[in-house]
Amino acid sequence: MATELLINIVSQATGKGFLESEKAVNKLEKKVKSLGKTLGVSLAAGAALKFSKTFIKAFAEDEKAAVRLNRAVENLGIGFANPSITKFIADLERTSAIADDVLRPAFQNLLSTTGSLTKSQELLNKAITISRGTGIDLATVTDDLTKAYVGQTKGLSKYKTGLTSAELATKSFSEIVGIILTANLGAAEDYLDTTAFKMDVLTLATGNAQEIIGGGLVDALGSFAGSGEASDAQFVIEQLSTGFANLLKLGGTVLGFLARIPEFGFRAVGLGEMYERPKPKPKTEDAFTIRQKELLAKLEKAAVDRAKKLAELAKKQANAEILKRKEKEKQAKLDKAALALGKGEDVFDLDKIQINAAILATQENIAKLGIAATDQQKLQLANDAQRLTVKQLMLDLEDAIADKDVERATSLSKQLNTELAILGTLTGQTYKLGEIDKILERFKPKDLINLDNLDAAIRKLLEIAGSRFDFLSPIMPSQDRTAINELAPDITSRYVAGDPEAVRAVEAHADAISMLAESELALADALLAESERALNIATASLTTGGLPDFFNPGAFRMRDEPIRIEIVDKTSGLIEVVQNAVIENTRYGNSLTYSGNLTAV
Amino acid sequence: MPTEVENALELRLALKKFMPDLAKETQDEMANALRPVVARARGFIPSEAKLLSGWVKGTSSIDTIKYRAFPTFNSSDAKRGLGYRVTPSKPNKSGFVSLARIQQANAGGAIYETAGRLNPNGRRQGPVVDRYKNGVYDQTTHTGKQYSTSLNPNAGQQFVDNLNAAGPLVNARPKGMQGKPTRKQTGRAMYRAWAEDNGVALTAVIKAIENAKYKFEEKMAA
Repeated sequence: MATELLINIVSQATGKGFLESEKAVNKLEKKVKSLGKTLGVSLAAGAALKFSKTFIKAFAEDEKAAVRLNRAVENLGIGFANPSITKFIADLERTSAIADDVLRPAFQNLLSTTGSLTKSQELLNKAITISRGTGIDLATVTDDLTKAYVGQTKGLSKYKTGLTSAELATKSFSEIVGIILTANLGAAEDYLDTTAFKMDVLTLATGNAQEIIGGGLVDALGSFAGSGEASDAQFVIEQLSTGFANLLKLGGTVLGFLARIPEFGFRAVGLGEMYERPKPKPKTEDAFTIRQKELLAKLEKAAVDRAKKLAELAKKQANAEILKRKEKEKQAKLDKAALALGKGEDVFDLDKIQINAAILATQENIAKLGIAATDQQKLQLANDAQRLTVKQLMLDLEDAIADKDVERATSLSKQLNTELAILGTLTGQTYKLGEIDKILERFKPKDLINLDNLDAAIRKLLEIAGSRFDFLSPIMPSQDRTAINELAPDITSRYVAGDPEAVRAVEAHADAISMLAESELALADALLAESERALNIATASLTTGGLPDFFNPGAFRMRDEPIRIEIVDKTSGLIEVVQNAVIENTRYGNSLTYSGNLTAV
Repeated sequence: MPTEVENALELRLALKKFMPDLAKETQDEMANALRPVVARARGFIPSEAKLLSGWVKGTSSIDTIKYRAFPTFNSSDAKRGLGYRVTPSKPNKSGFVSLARIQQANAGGAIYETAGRLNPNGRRQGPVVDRYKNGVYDQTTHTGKQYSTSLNPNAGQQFVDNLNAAGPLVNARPKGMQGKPTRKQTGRAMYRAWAEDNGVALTAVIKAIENAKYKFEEKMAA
């Protein structure tokens, strides 16, 4: 299935799709109109309903996020702080032009992780700066920061801090945030001057208008109305939408007033007490505030303690990392030493030496006995050789396991199984002589060149050259080229018809044939000259005169001339050395003669 | 949002019929404009070593299973999958024909391009739901398209984190640009290259069409 991931750069409307769509829409419209008539509901009301639904949906989404945050705050035991958090989010939304439905989850994320209200607010501000500076969305930034807060620094690599993963792991959370903030310092302020920010403000205002109108619509319980048009200024949009919402609320209030008319009647006749609401309890704001402060202080203390613990944990982790690295270095050194030791052990591995010696001895026995060996001897030798092989494989396998070389160990174990199966066959006496011969054959020392090899090579050459190959006068059989002049019927017909391509092809073919003929003629001339020379030499060998010197036996005869022999004496120095040595020996009491020697007692 | 032009298809047909050389030249000009963007995008495709090994290797039963397995990532294939076209496409359901486009045809490359765009933290595991099967009620994990089917609850997060570490998601149409902002022009290679091109290629393509139109009209008037 082809993917549809593409950037469409330039396109044109062909109208085909639109025409079809238009037809479909017209058809649908007719049907809806008829349905509307039937039900007595105009299409305008349907459109208003759709419009209102969009706004209500926006309001519902916003409300959902707010409720989620409220619940998270309540779960932390500081439900009373919800109004201040709402105010903080609203202020931040206004100043940073980031929608509250983005800010709320981010704040909730931070609050759940840090457990501290002030810390979360501080981190959210920092996250906005980082988001503006790096271009990464706020949700990702807060997510990364919360992870970093609990020691997971992997996600921070995207912020291009210039630190390695190991370095990030050793840094504390505040240090990391400090580094990222330094890199993005002033980004949030710069963004405030950009057109993008202004556009954000307008988008936000429109979004808020949707939410406010949605809220009003919900309050008005089914009064569907509204306008899609809004001015291009944030203030005007919000004022308009708030006014609209108020209007809707007013409707509800009027209805409420109408519903209270009976109450006014009762009050007029002096029976208003039944409508009296319970008086509000006296405010204990001071005690309450003190309690709130206590709770907040407790929460902050817990958060600080947790931060401390996390810092300690991070420190411990860093120390553990350092220790681990040191251990690894130590282990690497030990491994290196073990490798050197292993090499030494290989040289002095008595087991291996003994097995090699035993294999050599077996090979010698096989060579000695040769084809004269009896079946019993063959069996015995094959058993010995096989046992030695198995033993050698076992040692190799032990080494491979010790080296943790899985590939080699697997291969060796497979080989060992095969060899064990062969040994089982031998020891089980259910052998076949042919198989034993094969086993023995494997243990015979291999010659690089022997008569068998040469015979095989000659056989191969004869196969290649055919039966006419002669070592004394090697003439290679020429190829059968009788069909070389035959052309394909298609080419012939085109050539006859005068097709220039065919004419060119035939001419090129003819040139190639003449060149081939010329080269073969030259080769034939060279071979003829060579054979004539060989024939001349052979003819000349019948008479001594016609041969070159090295073929003439007469040239090797001794001539009748006196022989001079010169002897040059170059031994005087040697005599001197020998004499000195004898004297020296005698002086030290090491006489070369037996006379004068003392017999050992 | 692509730039919409009028009568470009007709111009192309006319050029092919009356001035084939100019038609070819125009296509070459458009291709020359798009080629650097594709080359840049190919540069953003990471090597396999930077990604999770399981995605690079794929499942061991990939040759025997009957269904289409999750596509694996191969750096060379993903680079090869990136390309451009300067011939008109078939009309889409709205009747629009694309005259020039950049596309990623490789499935692995497309995943690298867009993973984490909709769900920045990966798809979460499905909730446990009641099921009635073979006369027995039991419970199973919801296997909807919006849920991860991995046994690892953090699989989606880990996958997206790894991809984000290899290359950030860049929106070629962020908020603030003229027109409606969209998430669908966000990506790691192709869309990133398009964003970094800052409209140079787009201008060149439109200029090529404009030039062709001018030359054609000039020739017809002469």
